[in-house]
Amino acid sequence: MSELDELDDYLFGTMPDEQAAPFEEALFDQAALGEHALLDFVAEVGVLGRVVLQRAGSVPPTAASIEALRQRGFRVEVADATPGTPYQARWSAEAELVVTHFVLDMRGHTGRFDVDIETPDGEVLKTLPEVTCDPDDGSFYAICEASLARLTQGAHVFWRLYETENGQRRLVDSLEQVPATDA
Amino acid sequence: MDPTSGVAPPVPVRTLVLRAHEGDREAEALLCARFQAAVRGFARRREPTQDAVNEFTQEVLLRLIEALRTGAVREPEALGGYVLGICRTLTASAARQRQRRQELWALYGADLEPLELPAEGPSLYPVAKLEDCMSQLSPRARHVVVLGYVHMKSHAEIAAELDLTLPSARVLRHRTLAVLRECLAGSISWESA
Repeated sequence: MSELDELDDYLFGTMPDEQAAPFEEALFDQAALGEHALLDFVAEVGVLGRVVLQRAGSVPPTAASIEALRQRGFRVEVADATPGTPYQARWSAEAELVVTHFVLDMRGHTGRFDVDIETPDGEVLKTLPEVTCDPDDGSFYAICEASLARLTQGAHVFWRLYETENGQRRLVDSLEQVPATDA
Repeated sequence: MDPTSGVAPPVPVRTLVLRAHEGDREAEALLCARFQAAVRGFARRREPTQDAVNEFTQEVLLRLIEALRTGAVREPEALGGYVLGICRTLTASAARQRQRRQELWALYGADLEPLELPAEGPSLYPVAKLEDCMSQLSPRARHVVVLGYVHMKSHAEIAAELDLTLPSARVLRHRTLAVLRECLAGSISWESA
C-alpha cells in the first residue's frame, strides 16, 4: 500500500483508530519539518477541484449546460468544429471558458466513446475517456479553462472519436485542428 | 511551465519558532502554512462538513499563533506533537468553546486571514493542470474525486452514490488519486504538442 493510499484511508476513516493515532503523529511531525507534499496534494485536489467544478461544471457539457454557465456570468466562447474541415482553435483574450463543439450526430450509437488527441505522427497526447454526447442533438462538447485552451492554439493535432462496442474499437470520426493563424 | 514550481529548502522548525516568538510574522505565517494541511486532514477524518473543517482548522491555527507569541512552545522540535495536542484537545471538548474562539479571532484573526486561500483568482495554471488531468479520468473516477475531495462526502456516501461496495469505492479512490498525482507531476498534455 502506498503512502498516498494510507493518507486516503486516514482521511476517510477507513484506517482504524489504533493505526491512525501513530499515523497522525508522524503526519504532524513531518508537517513541522515542512514535509507535507502528500497533504498538499490532496488539499490541492480539493481546493482546485472546487474551482474546476464551479467553472466547468460536474456533468457532461451540453448546449443547455453551456447556456447555464453564461447565465451565471461566465464569459464562454463556443467554436463549432466540423469533421472534414480543418479547425483553428482561436479564442479571445476575454474568454474565461471555451467550448469546442464537435458538430456530428452520435445519437443511435450505443457503444462507449473515447476521444484520443493525437499529434500528426500518431503520438496520443491525451485521451478523454467515456465522453457523452448531448442527447438533444447528438453532438459533442468539450469545455475547458481558457488558460488551458490557449495552450492549444498553436497545436496541430487530430481529435479522433472512437466507439468501443463488443470489445471492438473503431474510429467513428476525426477532426483536424490546425494552428490558429494568429497564435 | 508553472512559474510557481521553484521550491526553497525548508527553514528548520526551531528557527521559525524562535523567530515567531520574537515577533517575526513571516515565521509565524510559515509555521501556520506548514500545519494547515495536516490540521485540515485531522479535521477531515472527524468533521462532517467543509465548514466544520474550516472552523476547526482556523481555531487550531489561532491557538498555535497564541502559543508562539506567548512562548508556550517550550520544545520547538516537538512542535508537531504540540499542534496535534491542540487538535486532540479541541476534539475532546464537547463544545467547541465558541466564546474562546471569538476572543482568539479578535486578537489574532487579522494575522491569520492572509493565510486563507483567496475566494477568487488562485493562479489558473494549476487549475488548468488539474482540469487537464481530470479530463483524462473516466467519469466514474472523476466523480469519486469530486465526491470525496471536493464535496467531502464520507466513505459510505461515496460508495452509495456510485453504487459500489465499500472496498470497491476505496480501491477506486486509491487508484484515481495515484493516477492524478502522477499526471499532476508532469506538464499539461498540450504543452508537448
